[in-house]
Amino acid sequence: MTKLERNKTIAILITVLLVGLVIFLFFYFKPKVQPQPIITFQFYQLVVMCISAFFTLSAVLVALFKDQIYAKFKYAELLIKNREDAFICENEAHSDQQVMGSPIIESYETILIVENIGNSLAEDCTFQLTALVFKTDNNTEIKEDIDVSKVKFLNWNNSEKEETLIYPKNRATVSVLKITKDEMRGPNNGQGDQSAAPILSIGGIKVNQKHMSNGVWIADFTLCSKRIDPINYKLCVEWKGSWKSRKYDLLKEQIRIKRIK
Amino acid sequence: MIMPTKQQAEIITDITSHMEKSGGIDGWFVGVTDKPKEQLFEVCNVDKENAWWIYRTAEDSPTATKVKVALLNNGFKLDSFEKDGITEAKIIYAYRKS
Repeated sequence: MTKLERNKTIAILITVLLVGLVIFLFFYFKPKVQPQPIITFQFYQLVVMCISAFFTLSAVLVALFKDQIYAKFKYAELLIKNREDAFICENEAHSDQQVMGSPIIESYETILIVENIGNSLAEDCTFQLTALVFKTDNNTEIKEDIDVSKVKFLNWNNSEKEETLIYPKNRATVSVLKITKDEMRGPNNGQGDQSAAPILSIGGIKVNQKHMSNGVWIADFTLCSKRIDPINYKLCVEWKGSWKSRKYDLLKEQIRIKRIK
Repeated sequence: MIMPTKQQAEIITDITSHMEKSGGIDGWFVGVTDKPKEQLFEVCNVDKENAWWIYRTAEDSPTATKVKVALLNNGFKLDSFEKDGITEAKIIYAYRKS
C-alpha cells in the first residue's frame, strides 16, 4: 500500500466514523429541535466555531496529503534528448597521436542528455537498458531477445555513479552506446593488426557476437526517478559491423541510429 | 574441466597466436582492466611502437576473468600492475616485458 493509498484510507475511515457517530447520536437521543431566537453574541460564536472547524478540517487534510499538495506546485519533469543530431560523437585518442594531421578516433559514442525542466530536484535518477531485440538486416524477422536481466544501471556524466540528482534547469548525460575496437601490435606489425572486429556495446552489453555481427538492434531504455513515472526511450540501431576511422564514413556507410516513439 | 565458450576460445586463440608470433611465452604477462591503453602504456610502461601487446574485450567481467585464468594456466604470468577491484573490467590485456 502506497503512502497516498494509506492516507486516503485513513481519511475515508475518519469521515465514515464521524458521519456514523452523528447518525447514531441523532437516532439514539431523538432530539426534539424547536426554533429559538438567538442573541447577536451567540450568532457570532457560531460563525467563529464554523470557521475554526473549517480550518481544523483543512489542517487535517493538509497533514494527510501534504506530499501530493506539494507535488502539485513543486515537481521535477525530466526530458531525454540526443546530444548529437546523428546520435554519434567521436572520442579522440591523445592529442599527440595523429594520422596525416587528423586525430585518431578511439571510439564512437551515443550520449543522451536528461534535462530537468521542472522546478524541483529530481532524486535517485537511474537509466537502464530494459529490453534488447536483435533483428536481421531486412528488419522483418525477430531473431533474438537478448537477456538484459543482469544489466546494471548506466553511469552518469562519464563517472562511476549509477544514481544521480538533477537540479531544476540542469542536465545530466548518459552514454547508451559505444563502438570500440580492440588492438594488438608487435615490433614488426607496421601500422598494427586491426583484425579484431569492432565492438558494439548497447546499454553496457557487448551485442555484436556470435551470429549477431551486423543487423538491427532495438533497445528499450528506462529512466526512473523518485516521485516521477518511469520514462521510456527506444532506439533503433542499424549497423553493418565494420569500423571506420572517420565519423563521416561511419555515418554514411556503417551505422544509422534513430529514436522510435 | 570446464570448456571455454566460443567467445572465450576466440579471445584465448587471438592472444595465444599473437604471443606465438613473438617467438615464445617467456616474458608475457596478462591482466584484466577497463582502460587498456592507460594500463598498458602508462601503468605498465609498455612501448607502444616497439613492444608486443594485445587487448581483447570480453562479453562481461566474469568472462574476462575466466579467459585470464585460462591464459595463466597456459603459461602466461599475472601482471603485477593489474588493479584489483575494478568491477566493470572486461578487457583482457597481455604484453611481453622486454
